[in-house]
Amino acid sequence: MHGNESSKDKEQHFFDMVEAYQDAIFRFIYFRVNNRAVALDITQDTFTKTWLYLAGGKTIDYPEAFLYRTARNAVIDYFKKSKSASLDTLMEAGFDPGSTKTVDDVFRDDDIETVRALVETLDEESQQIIFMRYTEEKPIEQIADIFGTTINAMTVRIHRIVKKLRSRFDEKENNNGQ
Amino acid sequence: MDNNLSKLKAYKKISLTEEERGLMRAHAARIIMSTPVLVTQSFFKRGVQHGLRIALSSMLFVVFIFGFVATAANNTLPGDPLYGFKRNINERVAAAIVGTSPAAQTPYLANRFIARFNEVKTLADSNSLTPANQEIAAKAITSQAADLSANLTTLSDQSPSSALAVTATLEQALKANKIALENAPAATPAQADGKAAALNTVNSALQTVSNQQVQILSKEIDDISTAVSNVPTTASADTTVSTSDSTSQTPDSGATQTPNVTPAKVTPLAP
Repeated sequence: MHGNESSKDKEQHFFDMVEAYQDAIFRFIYFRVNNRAVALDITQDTFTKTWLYLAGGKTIDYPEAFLYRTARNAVIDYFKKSKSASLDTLMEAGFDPGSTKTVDDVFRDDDIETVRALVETLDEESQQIIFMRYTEEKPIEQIADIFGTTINAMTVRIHRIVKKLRSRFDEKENNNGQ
Repeated sequence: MDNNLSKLKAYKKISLTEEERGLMRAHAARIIMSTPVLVTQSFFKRGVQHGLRIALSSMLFVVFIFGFVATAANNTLPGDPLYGFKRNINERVAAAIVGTSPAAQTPYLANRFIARFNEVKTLADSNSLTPANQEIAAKAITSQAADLSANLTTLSDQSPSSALAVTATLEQALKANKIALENAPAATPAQADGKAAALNTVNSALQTVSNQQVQILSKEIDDISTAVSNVPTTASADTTVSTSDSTSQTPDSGATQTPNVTPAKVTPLAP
């Protein structure tokens, strides 16, 4: 997106971004919050922030990376707020604990749920990296760009996360065996 | 572990429903309508205008401060904090405005030279002529005298009468200054020392001016002498030419003719 675009061009570009990335961004958020309504709400919030950025006269060179970064921050904000908010307030905002992990069939798959439970033991950033690498199958270069780091650093980081998951998986298997 | 993690691919099946997509589009349209694109000038234009504003205001500020300091410095005396500013900035700027020719510079420098002595006189009148202040004034006079002397020498080559007029004015002013200094009070020994030193400076300046006058006069006399010594040579040449001319004009006449001799004009010596 270039600085000399007219407002009509910017609007069209924004609509194209919404069409192209809404599913990916929604999935990314849904993977973390486990609630469809909340995920939809945060997805809308992500696109609102993106438009405000564009309307302020700034430009976005890599829309996908920008959207993921914005979504990542929105998820972090959500968790910060949900920590301080009471369950009643969250339910008022659309959060339904009973419906968690029951909306989509994929959440009912025990095999996948085992892996997912394991992933959820990781820190926030590591979960996002795993999602991008193994669900969205994004190249390491792009993940490094989204997280603002080098390819080498991201390769090492992914390797460490997988190693950690493996050790936790083995530990769990051993516990089940006993 | 990679096999287990690859099971996460299944999450890729998750997508928005058509209804949710509609909601997203409606949301996008709503935020675009509520927050239109901010129309701004290019960064370059804004940057240049902003830079110009800063440069102009800074320049005005500097001019204002400079003007204020220059005005304050105008009435300073030797020993005042802004005296150096007066001599090095105010007077140099004024000298540049007056013009670069010796005819314009010399009277200006002579006035400055007299002003230095007037400053000393003012200090003496106000009982502030300490040796320290006198030293500052003497330094200023010395440097001013060097400039004035150089200009007087050049001016005496071009217009000796103008140079002599300047030296006469200087001599008169310095003598008046000397009398004023002699009559000035000296309440403390330090002031008496300062006064004595100032009188020495005035005497020395008077001597310099007198020497300069002598130089100018000697030069003028030399010029006149040279002019006089050239006169007979020119007259004899004229005679020869005239004689030969008259001879050649009438070769056969045999008559004796008087040669056409014009006496040279001799400027009388100045008394």
